[in-house]
Amino acid sequence: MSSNIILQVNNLNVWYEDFHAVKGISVGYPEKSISAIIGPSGCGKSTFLRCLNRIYEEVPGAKATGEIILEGKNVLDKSVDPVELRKRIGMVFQKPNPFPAMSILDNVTIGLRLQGIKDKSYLMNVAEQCLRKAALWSEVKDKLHKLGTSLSGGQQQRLCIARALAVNPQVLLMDEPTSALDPIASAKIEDLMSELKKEFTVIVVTHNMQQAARIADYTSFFVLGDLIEHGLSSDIFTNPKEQKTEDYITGRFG
Amino acid sequence: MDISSADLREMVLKMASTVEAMVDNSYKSSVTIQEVFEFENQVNKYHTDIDDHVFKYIALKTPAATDLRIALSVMKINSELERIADQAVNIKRNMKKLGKEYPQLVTLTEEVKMMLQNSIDAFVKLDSKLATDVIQHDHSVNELYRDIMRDFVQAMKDDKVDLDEGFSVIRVAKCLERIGDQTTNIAEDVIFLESGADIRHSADLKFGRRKEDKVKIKGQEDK
Amino acid sequence: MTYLHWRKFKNIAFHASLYLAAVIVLLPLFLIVSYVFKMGASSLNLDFFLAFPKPVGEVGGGMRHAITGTLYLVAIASIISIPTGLLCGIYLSEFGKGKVATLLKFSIDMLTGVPSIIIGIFAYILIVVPLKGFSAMAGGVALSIIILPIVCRSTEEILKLIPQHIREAGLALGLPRWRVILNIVVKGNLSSLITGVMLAISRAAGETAPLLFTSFGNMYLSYRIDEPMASLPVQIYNYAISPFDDWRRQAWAGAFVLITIVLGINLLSRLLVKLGSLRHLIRRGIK
Repeated sequence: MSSNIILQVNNLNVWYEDFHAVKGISVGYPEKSISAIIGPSGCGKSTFLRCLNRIYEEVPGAKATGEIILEGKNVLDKSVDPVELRKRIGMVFQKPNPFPAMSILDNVTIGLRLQGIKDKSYLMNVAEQCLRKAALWSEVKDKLHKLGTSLSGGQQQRLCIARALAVNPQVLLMDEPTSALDPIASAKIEDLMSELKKEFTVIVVTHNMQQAARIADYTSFFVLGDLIEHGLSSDIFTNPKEQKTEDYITGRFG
Repeated sequence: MDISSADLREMVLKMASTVEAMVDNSYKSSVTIQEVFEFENQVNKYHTDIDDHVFKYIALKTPAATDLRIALSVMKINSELERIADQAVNIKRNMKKLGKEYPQLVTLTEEVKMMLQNSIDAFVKLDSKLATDVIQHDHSVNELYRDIMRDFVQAMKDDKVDLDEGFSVIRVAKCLERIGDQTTNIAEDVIFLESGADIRHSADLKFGRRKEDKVKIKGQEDK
Repeated sequence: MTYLHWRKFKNIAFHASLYLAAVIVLLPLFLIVSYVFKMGASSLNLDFFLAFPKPVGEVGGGMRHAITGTLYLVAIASIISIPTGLLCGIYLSEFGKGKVATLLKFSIDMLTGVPSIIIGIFAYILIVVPLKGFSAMAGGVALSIIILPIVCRSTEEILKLIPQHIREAGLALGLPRWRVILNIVVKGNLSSLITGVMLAISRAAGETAPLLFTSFGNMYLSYRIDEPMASLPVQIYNYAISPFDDWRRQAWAGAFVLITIVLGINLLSRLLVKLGSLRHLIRRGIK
């Protein structure tokens, strides 16, 4: 876990029409670490996450100001191509979503294939590597041509992770990746995330603060669009600085 | 932070071996008090580190069942070991004042050293039987201590032994007896860890109070 | 009667009425098919499919020109309307907000409600009058106006079923919007989309009114697009109202063939989806 900040957010504000969803948040994400974002429902954590790869733009009426610095450039700038940005910052969603009517292999390689890469052996190689990183290879290596949707929920989510890894991002955003899964599948994904942080920077939104405590190096606590506290998980969960954080963690509010 | 219950056990075992060395060296005249102080510094560092780690472990990992018992017993054993280290320092301070070797003290020291070793062994192997043996042994160690006390008080009264010398011997014996008590606590923690049973304070019920107290608890037979 | 008995009775009565409704729906279909079969099947022979009509009064001949004509007209209509309908449907489902989309949706809905004869009149004014004659082109255009809203609607409905987060997942991989739409959203539902298209085609194959004064009908087979063209429904109509027994007999046969074609396409499209072979074929084909 280095302290080299790879993604820096400065004074990010997001509005949906007139609703001020994210209020002036500044936070930095170190390389090869896991940072968790916790907070009660509707506190803007998903909105914040979706700004990092500019997927918030899909919602009409969404507007963002401020800076999100990756490799020295502000990704919110109009001159930055969101398509290129998203090759560097990948995303995994809450509900596992393998692409319909596509095999497992096709699902993993689609990001590369649609960029124009046709070399079959190269694609196969990348697919194997990513499925291994997603701890799914041994379970699917004999059925790569079966439909992605034929897998169980937990396996589908790992497939989606492998698919996101295939385009080789630096940062991986995860929006409540285990909330649609049963406890055992969730535990497998958590183990996977602890492995992934050795190679990628992971930012995960979770409504389960025990999960944040278990796996995250850093934790941010949001309430109604404000960043209340950010720091090492070991500090936040043993001795938080803000009263609101303490109240949330001990279950007195939220 | 990636702490596991195995990490906590390892840390406490390292602390234990340092403390065992301290108790060993407290009796040897070849070892200076300065060296013993250095050991004590190490032990104190382990003390704070382990507590900090256990705190973070419980907060972050919300352990349950065995893992939780490991965390709690490590915290307790950690405390006991630190106190044993303190006693070892006191022993060293008083050993300096003694002129000769007293066989009763030697016996007591050996007994207590064995209890300490066994209690740590019991922790390593999660051996409740061994832990129970340690607890039972405390009885005879306490007897030994009272014998020394009686003998040396008498000897001082009879002027057979110098007052300073006598008091120092009694002090050393007291420290050793306390170490014995501490190892008993460790053994109780081991039983808690292994089975979840809290057997503290039931020793009196099991093994009876001192004969000279002449006090009977309901249901206790005259042993 | 106790409350329990009353409830049980209501249950049974409700079930019974559901079954009755199902039977009422199935009955006409069954009756039509069996009656047409009875009347027309005996007249079916190889001649019917391969021969051209004989001169008036003579017995015999076939409807080769009409069968070919129907296929031809449907083909013209498909070429015009299927790509347009698919693209419209994709536009409405993927970019469905805003004034243009609302207007488009409204227009498409209106179009489905226009009587087919009015569509025929429209094609008449548009093509027959300027060209000063009936033509296969006019017929094809009329049918395309019928097919277009059906394809558009079904495409939009099918694509709307895909949850938004699938599209977001595609975008999140660093793929441009159009690729997400084509290679993930559309490709992932190809079989359903094709079913929608096939149903639209089967509907068009059976239309009569719009063809009456556009392609008009022809006793001969001409492959020219600017000349009138025969079609099965129109041919059936012409023969059915004629005074000749032989022609009327052939009309029944034609009716049977038409029903078979329309129902056949319907069943086929559903069967293929079920077997999944369409999916497989498409997948292998597109790769």
